[in-house]
Amino acid sequence: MRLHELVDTVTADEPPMGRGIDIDGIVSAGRRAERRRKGGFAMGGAAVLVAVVTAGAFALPSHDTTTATTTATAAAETSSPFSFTFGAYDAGRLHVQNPTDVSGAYQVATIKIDDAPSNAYGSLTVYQRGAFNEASLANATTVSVNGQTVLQASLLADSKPRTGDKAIAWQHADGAWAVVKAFSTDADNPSFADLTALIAGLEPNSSPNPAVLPFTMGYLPAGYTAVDVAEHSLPGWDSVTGSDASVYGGAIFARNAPATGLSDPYLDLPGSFTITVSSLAESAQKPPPIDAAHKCTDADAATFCTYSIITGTTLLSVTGNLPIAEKTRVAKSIKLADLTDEATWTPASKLLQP
Amino acid sequence: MRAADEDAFREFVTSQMASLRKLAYLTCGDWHAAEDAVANALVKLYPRWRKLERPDLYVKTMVYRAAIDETRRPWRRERSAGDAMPEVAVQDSAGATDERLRLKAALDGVPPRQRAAVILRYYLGLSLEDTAQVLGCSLGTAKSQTSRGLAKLRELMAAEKIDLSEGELSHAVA
Repeated sequence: MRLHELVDTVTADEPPMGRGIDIDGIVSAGRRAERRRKGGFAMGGAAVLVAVVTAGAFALPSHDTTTATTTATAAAETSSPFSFTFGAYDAGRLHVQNPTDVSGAYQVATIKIDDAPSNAYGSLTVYQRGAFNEASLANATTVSVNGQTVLQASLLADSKPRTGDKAIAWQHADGAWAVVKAFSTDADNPSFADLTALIAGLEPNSSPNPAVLPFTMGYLPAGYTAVDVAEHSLPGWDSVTGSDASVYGGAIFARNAPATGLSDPYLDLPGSFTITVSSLAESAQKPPPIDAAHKCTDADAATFCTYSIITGTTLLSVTGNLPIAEKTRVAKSIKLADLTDEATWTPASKLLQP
Repeated sequence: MRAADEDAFREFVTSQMASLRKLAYLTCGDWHAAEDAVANALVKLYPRWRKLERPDLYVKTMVYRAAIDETRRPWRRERSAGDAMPEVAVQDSAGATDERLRLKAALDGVPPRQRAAVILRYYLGLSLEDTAQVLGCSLGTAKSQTSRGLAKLRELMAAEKIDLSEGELSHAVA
């Protein structure tokens, strides 16, 4: 018997698709998820490009560890190398913004593009030494730009190049990569030349700028640490599209996070959960239902249930792979700062406060 | 999401749904849980659709993780057998049912992670590299999980006097 026959026989009792899995239902739920990720706030029309930078001259400060014992049963520490080591700069019609997302392995900044299609966006990610896997840029070609070796590649979908979506990567120090990814419906706007113009302008700050968050938390499940924090954007991979006036900040917590072999910022780390704080004030969308939290039960897959607290126009969400009781406990332990006054925000290294 | 992207997303869902559902079911052994895992993974995929280079691997990873989580949930393990039964009556001879149950038992005898590795590699046809990515492990671990799962499956099927033929498995344990 062949394996295909075995599988087909074993699954011959497959019931018809249930109502929860029809395509229209998935698309509708996906739209709601997209709105929730953006705090119910539609993205602005300005074209944005995101970039990631790695180690070397941009080395992050050593871990600053803060330990807080929150209860007798749950003690945790936040290991926090969370500082930004480069800032905004311009290169032609591309404008790198201040980085908004940082982990122990990378920092992420969005990039605005003048005169680009309205739905174009992108990012610059600066990785720590050894963090980026350059082989992840499939079919990249090597070019020389002012003596600098640069990888450039079209981004793929199902192994086929996606028109307009492209990336460049270069080492600003040995083994330390900076990666620019751009997504556009126009095949040559931005062009590879536009992207490579960014290389010369990337320089480290004179001193690191610690990331701050608009909340503190009194409880963190044992074994978890903050592994990625974001100011004014969603954390991790979502920071590429989540830099938005409606998002105050957030953090990803996990037991383990890879420090090497990355192709992108963290996305859905196994066993992780994410806290985000966002504004519904200027939303053109309806906020999520006030009773959203009560729809979570232990019978739900823990990964997919979001515990939300809405206070006035502020939405606090805890989502990810935690039992709902733990999500609730985390959410209820959070104290928000004055969201309009960053002076009251807390350095990520001091996130845990009993 | 732009209309063109949404059309592509719908096309992707249509083409992937059945195989994802089987991957989830064969990993966790419960059609209801499999359906939940697939639906939730696809909902998570939607807002990320255009930005992922390999949405197929992303969604398989999400489905695999959710299905593996299901195998660890006590309320899933304690579910009555009736929950796993078909929701509609199907014509099935006693012989066919018996064979299906024997094959299902053999497949269930393979540890979930090894079972998923075999399904990903030899039923869904993923490369070893892609299998490792979905399983969230190294190439070496993916290779060992696959070969151990295959060996265990062969052993269990041999006990039922059924040979798992070479064919697509000929390059199995390289």
